[in-house]
Amino acid sequence: MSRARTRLARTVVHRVLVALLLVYLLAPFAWMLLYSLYPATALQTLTPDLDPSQIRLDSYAALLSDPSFLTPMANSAVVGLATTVLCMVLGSGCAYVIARYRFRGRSVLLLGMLTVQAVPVIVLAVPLFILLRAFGQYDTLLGLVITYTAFILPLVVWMMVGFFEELPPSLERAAVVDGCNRLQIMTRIAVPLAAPGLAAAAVLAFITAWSDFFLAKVLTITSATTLPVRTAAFQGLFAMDYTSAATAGVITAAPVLLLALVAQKWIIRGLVEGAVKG
Amino acid sequence: MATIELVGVQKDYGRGRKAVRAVHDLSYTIADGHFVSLLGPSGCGKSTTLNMIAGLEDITGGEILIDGARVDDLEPDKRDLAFVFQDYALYPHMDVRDNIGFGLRMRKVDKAETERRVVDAARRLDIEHVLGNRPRNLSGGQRQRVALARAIARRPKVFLFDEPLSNLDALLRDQTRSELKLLHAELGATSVYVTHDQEEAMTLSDRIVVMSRGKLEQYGTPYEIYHRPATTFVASFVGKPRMNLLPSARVERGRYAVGGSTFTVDVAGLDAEQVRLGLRPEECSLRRAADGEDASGEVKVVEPLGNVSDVTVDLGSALFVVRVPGFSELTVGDRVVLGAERATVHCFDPTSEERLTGADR
Amino acid sequence: MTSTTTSTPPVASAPQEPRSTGAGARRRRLRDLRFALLMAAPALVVIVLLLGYPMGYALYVSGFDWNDKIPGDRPFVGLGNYVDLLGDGQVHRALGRTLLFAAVTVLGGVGMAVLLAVLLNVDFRGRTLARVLLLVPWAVPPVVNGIMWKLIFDGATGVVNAVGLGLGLFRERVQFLADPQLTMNVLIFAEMWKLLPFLTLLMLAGLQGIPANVYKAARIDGASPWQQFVRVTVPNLRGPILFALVVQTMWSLKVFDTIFVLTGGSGGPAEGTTTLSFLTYLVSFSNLDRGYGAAIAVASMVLVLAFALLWVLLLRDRHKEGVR
Repeated sequence: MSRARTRLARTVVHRVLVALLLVYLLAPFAWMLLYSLYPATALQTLTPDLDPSQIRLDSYAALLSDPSFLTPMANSAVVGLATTVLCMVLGSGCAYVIARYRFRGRSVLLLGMLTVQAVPVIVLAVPLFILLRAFGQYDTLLGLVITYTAFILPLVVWMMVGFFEELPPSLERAAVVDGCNRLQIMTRIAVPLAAPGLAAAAVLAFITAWSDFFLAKVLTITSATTLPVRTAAFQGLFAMDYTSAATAGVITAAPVLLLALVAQKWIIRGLVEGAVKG
Repeated sequence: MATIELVGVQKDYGRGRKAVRAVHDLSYTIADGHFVSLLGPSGCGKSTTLNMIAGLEDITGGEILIDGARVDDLEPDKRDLAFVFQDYALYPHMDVRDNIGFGLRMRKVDKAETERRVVDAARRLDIEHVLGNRPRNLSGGQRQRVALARAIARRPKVFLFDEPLSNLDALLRDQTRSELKLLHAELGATSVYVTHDQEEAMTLSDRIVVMSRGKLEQYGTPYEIYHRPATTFVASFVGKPRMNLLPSARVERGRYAVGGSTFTVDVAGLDAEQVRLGLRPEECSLRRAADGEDASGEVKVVEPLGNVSDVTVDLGSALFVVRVPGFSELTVGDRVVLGAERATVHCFDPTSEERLTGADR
Repeated sequence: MTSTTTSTPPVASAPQEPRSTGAGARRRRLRDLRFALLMAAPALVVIVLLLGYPMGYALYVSGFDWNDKIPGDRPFVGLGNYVDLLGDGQVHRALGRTLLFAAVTVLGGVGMAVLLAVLLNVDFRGRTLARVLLLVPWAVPPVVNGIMWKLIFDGATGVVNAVGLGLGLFRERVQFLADPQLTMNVLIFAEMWKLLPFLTLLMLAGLQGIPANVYKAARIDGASPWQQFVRVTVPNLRGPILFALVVQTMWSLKVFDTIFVLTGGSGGPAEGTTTLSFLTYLVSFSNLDRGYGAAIAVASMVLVLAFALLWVLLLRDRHKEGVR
C-alpha cells in the first residue's frame, strides 16, 4: 500500500518536472513565434491577447518581398548546401581512411580534429580576412564556402570516423573476396552502410554553416552576406523593431529546426554516441 | 578443382623485435576435392591460416600454391575462391538476390548468366522465396543459407569457411552440418573449414588439421586423429569426455601404474621408465570392488547423461573419468576397480609430448 | 610432429630472416598507401591551409605593434603585446567575466545535464518526444537565440517585466539589459538554454550504457535512490562527463554571437558582457589593433587548451578503471 503510494507520488512529481522541462525548452521560441504573428502591443502585458483574429502575416510578407532580406536568405541557402556537399565529399574519404587504415600518427590526427574545436574563431578572423582579400574572395560566396568547409570538416571527419569504425570488418573482407577494389569497397559497401551516420554529419554541417554569424560578419559586407548577419541587424543598439526581428528570427531558425527535427534520430546517434564511445 | 599447398607458411604480426609469430612454418597439402577442417582452440592461428589462403592477410614467410601456381601475391578476388564468414557478412543494403549476385557482377558476368546462377544457388539451398528480402528480415538459419548460396553461385575452385555454424542455435547447427556435408558431396569442390568444434571437424572432414599456438599438431583423417593422436594436445582436444592423460611409471616390464596409483595397464613394446598414458573414458570399465579386494580408487562424482554416465574416480594421486552405460548404480564414495582390457593405450613421451609409436599394435 | 610443452612461450623466437615478401604484397601495400593519400589529402590540405596557416599568421601578427588605424610603421615588438596584456585592466576584467561565465555554464551546465538526463531516462510515454524536443534549443542559431531572449528580457517591453509588474513581484521595470551584472545573468541564462540539451543528450547516451542489472544489484545490496545515483550513475558517467567538460569548456570560452546580438554589438552595458573573445573582437575590429587583438586571441586559446588538459588530467585515471 505505502509502496504503491510512494510510487504514485514519485510518478506525479516526475511528470510535473518533465512538463516544466518541456515548457522551458519550447516557450522561448514559441514566444518569438507569437511576436512575429501578433501586434507587439498585444503581447507586452500580463494577459497577452491571443485572439486568433489578431494574427497578422504582414511582417512575413514584408520580409519575404524585401530584396535586402531575400538575397542573404538565398546566400545562406547556397553557402549552406555547398559547404555541406564539400564537407561530405572531402570528409568521407578522409574519415574512411582514418577509420580503416592503421598508420603512425593516426590517433594524433584524430585528437587534432577535436582540438581544432578549441580554436576561437576570432583568432583566425583577421588572418582569414587578409587571406581571402588577397585571393579576391572577400565578400564572395566561394570565400565563405571554403572557410566554412575548413572549420566544419574536422568535426565532420571526427564524427564519420566513428561511423565507419562501427561497420563490421567482415563485410569489407567479403567485398574483397567478391572482387571490389579499394574505392569500390568504400563507395559500394562502406558509404551506403554508414549512410545514416553520414546523413547526421551532413545535417550537422548544414546547421553549423547556416547558423554561423561571426565569420559571415567579418568576411562579407554586402553581396555575400548571410541570413544570420541580416537578422542580427534588426537589433540596433537602442531601437529595435520587435515584430520584424522576431519574424526574421523565426525565418532564420525554421530551416535548421525542421531539419533537426526530421533528422533527429540520426543526429542524436551521430552527435552523441560517437562522443560517448570516444 | 584445386589442390592447395602450404609450404613453410609463416605469419608475424608487428615488425622487428616486437614481432609476434602467429603461425609457424605450416606445410601440408590439401588434396583436390577434399573437405579439410582446421581445428583448434581460439587463438591457435586457424583463422589466420584461412585468411592467408584467402589473401585477406599477407603471409610473412613461405608460399601458398593453388594447383601448383603461387597465389600468395594475388589479390583475393584473383584466387578464385569463395569465403563464408562467421557472421555471414551479408551486405545489409542489398536484397538477397543482389547479395548472392554481387561477386558475379563485380566479375562482369553477364546479367542472364548471373540471374541463372543466383536462382540455381538459391534453389539448392531452398531460399528462392526470400530472394527479394533484405538480410535483416531473415532468420539466422536463412542468413546462413544466403551466405552459402553466395559462395556457391560464384562456382569457385575453393570454398573457405570460417566457423560458419557457430552463430546458429544447437538444433539448426546439426541440421545445417548435415546439409553442408551433402552440399560438398554434390559440388565436390576443395573446401577448407575453420572450426573449434571437434564434432563438426570429425563429421564433415576428409582430413583434419589440428593446430595449437600457431603450430601444426597433426594432419590426418578423422580416424587417425581420434585413434592415433600424434601429440598429447590432439589426444586431449579431440574426444569427449576428454581422454585421461596421466603420467605413469613402469612397475615391471610391460606394465605401468597410471598416475602413480595402484591401477596398472599392460603396454607392450615400450622401453621407457616414465610415460604419459592416455585412456579414453568410453573404452575403460568400472566395477564395484568386492569385500577385501584392492580397489583402484573411490567414486568422486557421478554425472548421468541418459544413455551413459560419466564417473570420476579418485585414484588417490589423480582423477580418472570412466564413461559407463546407462544410469550407474554407483554412488559417491564407492570403492571401485578400473579395467582397461578393451582400451587402446595411447603412450606419449612425457617431455616431447609426442606419440610413442612403439606401443601401437 | 611439433611439440607443445607448456614451457614454450606463445611468442616464438624472433623471425629468422625477414622473408622478401612477394612483389604482389608490396604492390598491394603501395596501392593502399596511394589510395589512402588520395582520399585523405584534400580534406587535410583544406584544413591545414585555412586553419593552420591563419593560426600561424595570428601568432606572427601578435608579435607586432600592428594597428590599422595608425598608418605606416608596424614595428616588431616580440612578446611586447603579451607583456602589455598582463598589465591591462580591461583584459583582467574580461578574463574574470570569461571565467565566471565559463564556470557557471560548464559546471552548472554539466551538473544540470546529469540531472535532466536522469529525469528523462525513466520509461514514460512521451519520452521520445521529450528527447526530440531537446533538439530545439540545440538547433536554434545563436543569433536567433539572442533575439529570443531580448524579446523576453527587454527592459521596456519584455514579457518578464510585464509579468513581474503585473504580479507585483517588481516594484518598477527592471532594466535587465541595461545593468552590467543583470545582462551577464541574462547572457548566462540564454546560453544555458542553448547548451543544456546537447549535454543532456550526451548524458542520456551514457546512462543507456549502464546495464539495468547493475541497478538491480545495487537495490538488492540496499542502496537508496540517492546512493544509486552517487555510487552507480555518476561513476559510470565519467566518460561522458569528461567529454562534456572538455567540449563545453571549449565552447563556453568561445561564446560570441549571443553576446553580439543581446548587447547590440557592444559587449555592454559598461563592458559588462565583454568576455575575452568579445574583447578580441572589439580590439581587432573596432580599434583595428590587429597585433594586440591577436595576442589576446592566442592567449585565450592557450587558456582553452589548458582547461581541456586540466579536465583530462583530473578525470582520466579514475575514468580508466570506470566503465568505458
